[in-house]
Amino acid sequence: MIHPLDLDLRAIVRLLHAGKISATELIHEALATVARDDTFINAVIDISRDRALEEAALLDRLPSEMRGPLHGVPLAHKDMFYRNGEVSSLGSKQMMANVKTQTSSLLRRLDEAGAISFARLNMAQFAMGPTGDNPDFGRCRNPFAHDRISGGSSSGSAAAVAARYAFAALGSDTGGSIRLPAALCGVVGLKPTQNLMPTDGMMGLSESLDAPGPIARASGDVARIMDILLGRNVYEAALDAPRPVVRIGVPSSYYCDDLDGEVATSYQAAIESFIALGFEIVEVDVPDHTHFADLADVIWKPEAAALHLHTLQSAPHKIAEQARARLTQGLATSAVDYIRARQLRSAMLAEMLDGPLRSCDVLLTPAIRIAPPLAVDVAATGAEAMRRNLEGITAFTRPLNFLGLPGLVTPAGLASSGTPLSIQIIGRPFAEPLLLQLGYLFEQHCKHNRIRPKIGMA
Amino acid sequence: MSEAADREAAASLHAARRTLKTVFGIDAEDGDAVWFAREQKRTSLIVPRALANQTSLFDVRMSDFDALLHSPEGRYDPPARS
Repeated sequence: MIHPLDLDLRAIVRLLHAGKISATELIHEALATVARDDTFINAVIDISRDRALEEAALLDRLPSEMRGPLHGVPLAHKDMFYRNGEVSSLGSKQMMANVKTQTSSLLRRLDEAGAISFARLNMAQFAMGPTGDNPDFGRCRNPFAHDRISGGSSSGSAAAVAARYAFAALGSDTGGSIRLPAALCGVVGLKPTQNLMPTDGMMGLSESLDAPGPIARASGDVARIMDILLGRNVYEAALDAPRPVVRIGVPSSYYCDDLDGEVATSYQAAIESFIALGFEIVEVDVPDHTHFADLADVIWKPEAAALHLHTLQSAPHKIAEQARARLTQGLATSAVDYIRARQLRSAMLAEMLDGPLRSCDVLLTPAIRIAPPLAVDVAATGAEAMRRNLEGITAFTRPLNFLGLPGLVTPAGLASSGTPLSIQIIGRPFAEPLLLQLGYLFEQHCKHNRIRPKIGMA
Repeated sequence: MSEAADREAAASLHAARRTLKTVFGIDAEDGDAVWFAREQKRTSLIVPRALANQTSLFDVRMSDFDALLHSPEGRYDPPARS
């Protein structure tokens, strides 16, 4: 018999609605799993146990007709979404007295749908860092291979969902911070189109590039969360729509350059799966996107530096060395370069829509160029070494933030190290329903997203 | 490293510390000043390189990005919630 925490979100909601399991029983299971396994993973910063149990008891008393689309579902989120009266650490122990006076719209909508958001999750300090390391709370480990990186900056979100603590989690993506940890931890992550999601009540990193979004174990679950977060009824409905007639573009350059062998093999297998599903595959020339990542740096770093300038001036010790270095870099950007980089977004997006995304409906790429690295191999050992490692991890995710395009990552098999490999599906602006439908069909066909990590044995 | 290179690095570090103090009011540690100086040099190359293939940005405004994002060819119009 399948353990309830192994079910996907939509399946557990059906059981909760039918009264086959209670919200109280389920949250006790989630709490026990965290207590048993988080010594291995380190995904959790804090648990709101009493509030979670109170909410579960209230939900269990609700008549069935009042039960929402996330009734009784345990969720947990990156510790940068604010809740009135509670602390939000932003990944820094120096911020543990940071009690918030507002609640994020995204959390409120999940609450209203009946979810129980019971834990605040580990993250890169101030959401700066793609590896899952945190100098204050420690490294969030990959549930599939604990010596490998979990990815970041929404490291705890992806690890907690993979480790079956929560059925879904919120993350935020400024350069890949949803997609990278989702890809490395073998779960599904969606970076929505720029400006689609409300960003009130959450820590900003870059007002131009930030995109909050969901992480779950199936595209269908992500679709449900998206409908709830945006008060719509389109994303989950798209899953069961007739199979779309779309052309899937396979880049002949950049996104297939310098791939690790295992990444290339799983990517090719994913292409063949989509062919087997009846989709037309077309080869698409993609211009070199290397400079998109560089241009993104010219935008997000000064924006982040402006947000944290007061702390840099008055209490720089509150920011750990690696994050402080990146903020200080942001101060080095000239105003002219910043404005020109932002202007270039228009020109580059127009080129992308008129070029690669005119000859196909979506682009299919690997999520990450390299196989999941060991944590010791991505330590910040120096300027050039760190830059090389970061580029290897983020080369395929950062261009989307610069262009504002949506991207979905979903698992595509395991590397020989036992860690997940993933694909990324890139769409035109607001193509999230199509991306989720394609992810859903791929997952139904391949079932890579069903692979469960063995916590404590990895 | 040669003596000249040493002198250049020290001057660059000194300039970075002075800029961080006078412009931003930050008493930077040496490590941070090094990051600042390196990034100043790097960033100044990024935009010109990206601009090499652009004929002109005179007609482009930042608000064009949002307009393009919401243009009919990019825009997905969801039906109203029932």
